[in-house]
Amino acid sequence: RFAMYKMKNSGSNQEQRRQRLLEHQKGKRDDLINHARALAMGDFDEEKDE
Amino acid sequence: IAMVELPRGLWPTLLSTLVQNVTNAASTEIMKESTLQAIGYICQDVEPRCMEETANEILTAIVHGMRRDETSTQVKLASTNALLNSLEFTRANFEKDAERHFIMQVVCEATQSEEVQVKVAALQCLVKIMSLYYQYMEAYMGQALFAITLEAMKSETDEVALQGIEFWSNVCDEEVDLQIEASEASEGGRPPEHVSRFYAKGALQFLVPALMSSLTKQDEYDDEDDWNPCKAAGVCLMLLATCCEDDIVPHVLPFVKDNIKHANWRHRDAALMSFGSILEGPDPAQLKPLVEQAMPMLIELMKDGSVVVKDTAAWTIGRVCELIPEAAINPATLQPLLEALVIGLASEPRVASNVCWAFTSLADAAYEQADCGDEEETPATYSLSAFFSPIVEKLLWTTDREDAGASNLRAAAYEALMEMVKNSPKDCYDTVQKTTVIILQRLQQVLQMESHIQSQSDRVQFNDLQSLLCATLQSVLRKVEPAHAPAISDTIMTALLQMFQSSTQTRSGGVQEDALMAVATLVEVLGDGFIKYMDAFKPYLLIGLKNTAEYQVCHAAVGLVGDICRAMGGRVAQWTDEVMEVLLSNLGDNSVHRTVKPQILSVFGDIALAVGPEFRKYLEHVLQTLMQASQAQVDRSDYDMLDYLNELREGCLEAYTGIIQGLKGDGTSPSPDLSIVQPHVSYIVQFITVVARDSEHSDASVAASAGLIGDLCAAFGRDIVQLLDVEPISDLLTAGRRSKTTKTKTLSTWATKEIRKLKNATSTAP
Repeated sequence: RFAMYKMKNSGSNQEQRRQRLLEHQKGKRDDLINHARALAMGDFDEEKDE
Repeated sequence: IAMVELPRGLWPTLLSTLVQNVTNAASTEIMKESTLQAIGYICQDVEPRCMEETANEILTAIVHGMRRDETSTQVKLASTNALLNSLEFTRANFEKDAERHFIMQVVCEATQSEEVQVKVAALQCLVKIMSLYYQYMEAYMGQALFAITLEAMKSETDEVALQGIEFWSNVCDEEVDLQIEASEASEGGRPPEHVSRFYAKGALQFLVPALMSSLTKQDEYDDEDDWNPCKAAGVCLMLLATCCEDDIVPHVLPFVKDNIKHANWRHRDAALMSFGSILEGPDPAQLKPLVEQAMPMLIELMKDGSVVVKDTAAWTIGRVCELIPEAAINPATLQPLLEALVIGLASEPRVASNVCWAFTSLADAAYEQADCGDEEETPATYSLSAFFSPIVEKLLWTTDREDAGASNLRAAAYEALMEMVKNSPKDCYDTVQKTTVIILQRLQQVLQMESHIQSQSDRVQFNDLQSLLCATLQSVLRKVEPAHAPAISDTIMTALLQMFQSSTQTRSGGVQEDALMAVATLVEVLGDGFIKYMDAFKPYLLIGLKNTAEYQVCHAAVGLVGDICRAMGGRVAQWTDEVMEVLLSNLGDNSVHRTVKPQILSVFGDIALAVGPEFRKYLEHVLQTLMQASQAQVDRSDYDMLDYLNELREGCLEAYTGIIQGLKGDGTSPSPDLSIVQPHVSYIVQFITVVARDSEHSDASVAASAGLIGDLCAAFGRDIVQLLDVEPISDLLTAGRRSKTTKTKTLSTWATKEIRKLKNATSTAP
């Protein structure tokens, strides 16, 4: 409870920075492998296939 | 001794002996008391499963000591404490009406004890019973618990009042969880297993006045580390708002209106605190006009004569900026608000720290609101543009305050600065550039400070400052235009290298981690321009990779290898031998923290993709390692381990993807190098099948599987279609196409299409 008193949701401590960087790296990896798949995320036409 | 022996099934007579000691009429008071204490310690420390069998006997002894006609206070206290520790394994007793009634009766009676310690311990039992056995409390709530806890809340004795408040905070926690359960159940079209009885909502009219009264009992010279009913009441009110949502507003508003301009600072502070506490929970649309109306008063109270009031005013404004930012960012309020906040940065550290937090939220909200057609694109301007430069200047000044070590002010000010920079539009770029120069100067200065370190606390401050500067450096670097980066990169890299050197000597892992993250950002900004630093940097990269004791450092270094691969492509091949050696050795080392391992597997994929056919030399070893990693088993009753298993599998899938894509090359026809992986393809498909069949596979592992299936089709063509055209895989892809995540959906659809294309080609082939 103590930590909840006048609680501030901070967005930049080391743990959160670490998480954000990790997600950023994951995103970059996805971009690269999907680029190789010639697959632009989101532009894919799913309707025709269903 | 019990902790050692009971889990091994030894000393079977222990508990019955202890029980005997308590229930035997001939036992002395001291015998009963010390025995009950022993029972209490055993209940607290021994695993519940060892106690379940003897739970009945233990409970009998405990309740015996708590009964009304027990004359010794010491015995009563020891047994009440023992009950508190035994509650977790007496579920079977709570499930039986008669036994539960009896326990509840004894506990409720003990709450009426004249002895404060017994009363507090009994109230603690009620608090815990409420969390553990909420579903059985209906019969007691109206008759007893409500009156007992409300009376406790109003007690003049702090320890008693704290338990009364804690009881209702716990009710809120439970009921919020139950509401979540109810909405998940309704989404899934099934009835929830447990339901909320809405005790908090029903009791609002009695709870709120009691809490308001506690809120006005602030300590004048409050120690930040103290806990008292006033602070507990603030937290409880916040939880009530989350739990009861709109219903709380009419109960609180009259108090706010009557007290916000009160002559007594305690009342002004309580009014602010209650207003700030209810900003999360009720519908923001309902709150917005109220907050807009209150803003001029909040701004005024930033100048209050009382530090406590100023502090709460700054916190409340921070809450507004975070939760209902539209009420802060409007033409009528913005300018006076920002002026008050900037002045507030020079206030006492605790006030200034809250102001920093308000800037953090404000920057984020203003950027979000900025009008910009494309979400990816940096907006041209935003509502804070006109004030950006003076705010940043004052934040930089704040980080340098003599007293910035208090109330976490320095970190709060740097965090606000990072958010301001991160969320800055194009027309603030000048200030971002100036800030970059200042941060670089500070980095150089801080490195010279090392020789002045005298104490451990100097060292901690020095390390924290380096971490914060590295983090700020990342946020400015992300904003620097690619053309401007090379002009500053030498200075940055020189400072970072020096930091690596000294932090390696002093084993300051936190600093190394932030410095590695800063390098990662620099690599991304410079692209293959980073190559000129590689020779100087490589030794520190290897030190980081080998720093398995501080696994977070190792983790950051592994991630950075991936970034370097993406930035430099094939040119990375000249360094990969040494890197691969460390990575493979870390994977095989049982003492290496498990969170690093999935990341290493993914980075194999990054390296393979970067070096292409050059990866051949590592292939045998890597495929062997992947085979082992992909067969890992975990304790499935442990959710953390299940998450880990999914991450590990995702890592394997990403490694296979990188290897296959890398060997295939980007030419029009697949490279002959692929033939080296050919013999492993059936194992890879088998592994995907294992993932597919696992009922607890994660969405991310479905996405990675689908991606790999598509890659296998593209690389091996017709030869592979038979392997892939099996039920578990088609089920996996069907589930993937229905995923809520766009990535999973898109990849599953793509893989399905690739398989279908190959099947059609096979069936029409001559």
